[in-house]
Amino acid sequence: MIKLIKLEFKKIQKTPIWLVLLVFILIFFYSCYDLYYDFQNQFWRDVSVSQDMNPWHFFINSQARKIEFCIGINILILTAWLHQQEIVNEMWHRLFLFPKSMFNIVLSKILLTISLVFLQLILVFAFTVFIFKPKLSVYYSFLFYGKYLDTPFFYGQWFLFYLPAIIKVAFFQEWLTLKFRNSYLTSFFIGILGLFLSFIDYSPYSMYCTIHTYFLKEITVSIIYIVLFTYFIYKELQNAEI
Amino acid sequence: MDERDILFLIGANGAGKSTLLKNILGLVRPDSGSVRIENSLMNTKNRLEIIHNVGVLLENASFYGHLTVKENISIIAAYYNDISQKQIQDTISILGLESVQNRLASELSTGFKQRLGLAMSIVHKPKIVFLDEPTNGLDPQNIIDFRELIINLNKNYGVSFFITTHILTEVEKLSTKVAIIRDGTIIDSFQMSELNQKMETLIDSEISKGGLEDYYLFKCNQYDKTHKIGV
Repeated sequence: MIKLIKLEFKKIQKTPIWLVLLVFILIFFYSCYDLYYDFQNQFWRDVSVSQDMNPWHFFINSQARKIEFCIGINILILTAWLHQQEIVNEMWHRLFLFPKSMFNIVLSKILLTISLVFLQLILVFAFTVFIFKPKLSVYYSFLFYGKYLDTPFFYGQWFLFYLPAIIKVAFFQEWLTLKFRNSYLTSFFIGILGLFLSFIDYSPYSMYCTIHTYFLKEITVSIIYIVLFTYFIYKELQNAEI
Repeated sequence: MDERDILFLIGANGAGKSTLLKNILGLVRPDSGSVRIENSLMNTKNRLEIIHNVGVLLENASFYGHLTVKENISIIAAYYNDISQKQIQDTISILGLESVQNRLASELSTGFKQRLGLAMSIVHKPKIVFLDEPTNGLDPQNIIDFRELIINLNKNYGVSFFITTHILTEVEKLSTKVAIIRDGTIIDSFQMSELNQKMETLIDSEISKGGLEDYYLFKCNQYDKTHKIGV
């Protein structure tokens, strides 16, 4: 499988996809920077203190919607891009003629999407933590109760919330792209619409990037979506005629 | 088909050549019948195993236009097990692609694009290669070059070819076996060496002194009359 993921990576490494992804990383960074100035506002500090919240939780949760949207868009772009490489170059039919299971080839595309988006997310968190932590702790150390970084919170945020949510959206979007493979714009715009409606709990595009008390339910829903759409992708490929 | 055969499937546009090819390759499910390659009955379970010995070039050569010739061949090779860099380089040499191996595939001329397509089909040393109207859109010189490549691969490397076409001059120059398809049905198949013998049997016919083209037209007309097509 790793070999197949590397192959998918090779197919796109010389395309302008990097520019697109870079734009969204810059949006993340801008979002952090924006929030940094928000934090200079006494009001937000007071809100954080009055709610007895760890300011880091407050910091991350308050930009979660922006991050969710950017992550979602990146999944949409990557999924469409990986498929378009096959469709535009008329390589789609050839994939069926390799001695590798088509399901594994599609799975490698999904895993590459997930890996790249997750890598972006790590970059964003690294940027937030390592660039803003010193600034915030120097100027507003009183907000952090001496606990500058809640490490378990960050790891929990990455692996418990973002990752299952990213996997869920990636599988759902892959299925849509396969379903509408001759018109990638259809699946892309369904995706955009879904992202705007992602505030609806348990919808395919909702990402749960904020800490909720009912997080187990959200993770369970993500896993159900993943299993369900893995099956749908399998069926779609079985019925595919070239 | 036997080993080292070059079988041509000839028929008019829409006769079912490409569909039959897709059926054989498992890209389209047949309504009935079965496919046997190398004495193995192809089914969903062993399809991937059998396809390992098969190369395919469908009508227009397809490749990743933003990658170089060598990168394209390497990507295809990576889908198969144990293909060395030497094997990739050998394929490039056999197909005469050395001079353009570092050029982007999208920048190649039509002739070189078709060679690249063939290189991508044979890099894993298949025993049989399926070509769907491979000389479509090529100029006369490229057609001659492509024909020589096929002869070279067949004679020196033992590759069998299954080629669909409606250009009958190609058939006469290359084929060892011919099958005629009409309206989705194989109406005749024979060894190319038997053609003259077959023509002689049509002693009463006006076309008995003609070539493959005349025989093809005769068989098609005969089929149409029998099946009342166009009557």
